[in-house]
Amino acid sequence: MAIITKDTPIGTELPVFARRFRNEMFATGDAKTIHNDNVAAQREGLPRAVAVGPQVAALIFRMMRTCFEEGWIAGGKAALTFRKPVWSNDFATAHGLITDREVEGGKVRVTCNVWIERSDGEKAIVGTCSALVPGGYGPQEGRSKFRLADDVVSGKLSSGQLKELYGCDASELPMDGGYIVDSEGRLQENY
Amino acid sequence: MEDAQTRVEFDECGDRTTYDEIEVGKDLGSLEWVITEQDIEKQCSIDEDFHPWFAFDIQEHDGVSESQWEGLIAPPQIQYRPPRWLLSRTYNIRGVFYKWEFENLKPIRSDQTITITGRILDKWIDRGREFMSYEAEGWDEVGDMVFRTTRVHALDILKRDSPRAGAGEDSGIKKEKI
Repeated sequence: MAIITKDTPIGTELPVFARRFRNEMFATGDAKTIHNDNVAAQREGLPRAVAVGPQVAALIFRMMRTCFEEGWIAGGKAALTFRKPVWSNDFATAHGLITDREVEGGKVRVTCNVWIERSDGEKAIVGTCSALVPGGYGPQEGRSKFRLADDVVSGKLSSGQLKELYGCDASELPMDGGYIVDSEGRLQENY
Repeated sequence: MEDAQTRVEFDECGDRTTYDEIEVGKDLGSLEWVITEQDIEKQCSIDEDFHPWFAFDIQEHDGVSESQWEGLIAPPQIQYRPPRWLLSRTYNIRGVFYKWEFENLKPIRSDQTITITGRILDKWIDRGREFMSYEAEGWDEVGDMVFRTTRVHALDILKRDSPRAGAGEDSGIKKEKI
């Protein structure tokens, strides 16, 4: 079961995933490569052997798969920048922080800032990943109605989408949480 | 061995592709990729990414399939290598990986044949280093897109004012096998 749901707050940190890399992990027969041989790496201008980038990034993907399960397998997105190398014998940790959520086709896309940190604290890979979580906001769920109201007020959800996806009007959303419906049927914050 | 301040000129796969030789917009052709159970097992092992979905073809129980995927699937990152193979059929770029974008649209299944297509998107010089980008898409047997990806590679770690000379130990081009 996915750890992250539509109700997980923005600002939540994802569980950290860590791995120790070793030169032997990057052996490909007897071939000397920039991933397992310092001389081969230096020939290309690197100070020493570096871990395979996608294998390092896979720590992030493991984190996303664990947190979102099926919503990562089908619906997952990634945009990563490899800023610095992770050495082939380094220790690396994957981190994630939820930064956004928006309705997408009856589901909710949760976006996270993600990064890989080397043992010296440098961020080697940075970027964003997102995945889908089930449901939207059930119109019968009182707490979720407030979340839905937040999205209408912030403009992430139009009144048309509200009707189409959740089968409810803005007027059905909670009025005691600081919201009113204006003359055009739009939800507004009521201060 | 040549001085480390020269860029590699050639390796066992021939001359390294130069910046001028990269043709923006070039169609990289297509590649048929058959995913095996062994490929999936290897990818899980490489990445230490284990899950029952990647390990068992969960059978029907009392007539109801217990796997929502209806069969063995692969961790989505298994899609990294095939587009790289496709690129390497046209260009001999060692490079270093700089950017990676992708979208997982459908699960990648065991025994599935995915057709990979791709093209060169762009090339540019930034702070003295040469970069190129390409995109690729994976299509299943029924014509659905399974994934799409965009990658950026730096052609060399050294800046472009370093001359090319001598052999490299490593071409970066691997057998077309996970």
